[in-house]
Amino acid sequence: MSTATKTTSVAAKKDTRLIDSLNLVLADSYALMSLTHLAHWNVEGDQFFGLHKAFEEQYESLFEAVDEIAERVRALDSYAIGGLGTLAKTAGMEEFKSPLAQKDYVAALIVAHEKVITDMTQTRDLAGQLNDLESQDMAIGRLQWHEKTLWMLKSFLKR
Amino acid sequence: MKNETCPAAFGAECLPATCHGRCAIEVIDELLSQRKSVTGEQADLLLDLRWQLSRQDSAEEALRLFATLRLQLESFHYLAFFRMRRWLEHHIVAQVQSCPVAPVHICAIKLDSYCIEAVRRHCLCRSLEKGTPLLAPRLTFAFRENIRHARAIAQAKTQLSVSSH
Repeated sequence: MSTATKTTSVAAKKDTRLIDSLNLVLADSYALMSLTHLAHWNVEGDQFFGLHKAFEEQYESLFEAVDEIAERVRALDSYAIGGLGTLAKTAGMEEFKSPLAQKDYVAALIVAHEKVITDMTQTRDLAGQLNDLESQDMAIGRLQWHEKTLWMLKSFLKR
Repeated sequence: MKNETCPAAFGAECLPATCHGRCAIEVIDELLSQRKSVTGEQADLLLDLRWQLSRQDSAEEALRLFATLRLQLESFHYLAFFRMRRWLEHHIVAQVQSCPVAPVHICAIKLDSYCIEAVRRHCLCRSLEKGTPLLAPRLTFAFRENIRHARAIAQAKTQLSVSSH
């Protein structure tokens, strides 16, 4: 009798597309965390306290997320990418320069969240195809969080 | 839904027909598709802007239309105008000359103002900051792609003339 743990499909572990996809959402999440942190520091205006606090909650959540995604890559017997240059290049996310109007910080973060959602959706679908339910479950959880955050950010811009 | 960052943000070629980002044209189409989101007059202006962006004939006219629409609609459609603003900043540049015979300098535009003259002034000030003395300055707005194509044609003509000699 084999003593190896067989929770994840072998196909998922061997498929580099899934590893690349997970590393892409890792880079996306890291880049978004950095942008959210920047917005947290530099936002100004009459909505300062609300936005400052909201951005803090968001980058803290993203910090936990990048750890979860990277550890999932390791669980699939592969290596997580890292380093600011590599992560920024892989994510290809447009950076913003401060100062910005408070609404522009929110709008820029919405665009960044949309990019993560697009890539995370592909990761979820690919994990499903490869029967890697653990990666799929993680991607679904992340998507729920990003969509909820997107709703909140968009609500702020509504007049 | 396409959400990738526009290639023009990284200096790569990007045309409205093939752009992977949320192009201004796509955003205009979204605005026009929402019932009661704009008045008839605003819809006409949006269609004029759409025409300008698809033809890419006059960046000046495109910016003028955008400024007019932004004043009227931005408070109701902030995100849509943010997307359009970013797209225009990536695709339109200012061509600055210190005098009519001086070489052309390309200057990125920043659409922080609601009026095209303020954008023009900002670009001239930035050129001054770079140490260019403005004797009789000329400034025209142009689509980045048109400049790229004009350069490619000029380069091809030079190569042709060199090879024919």
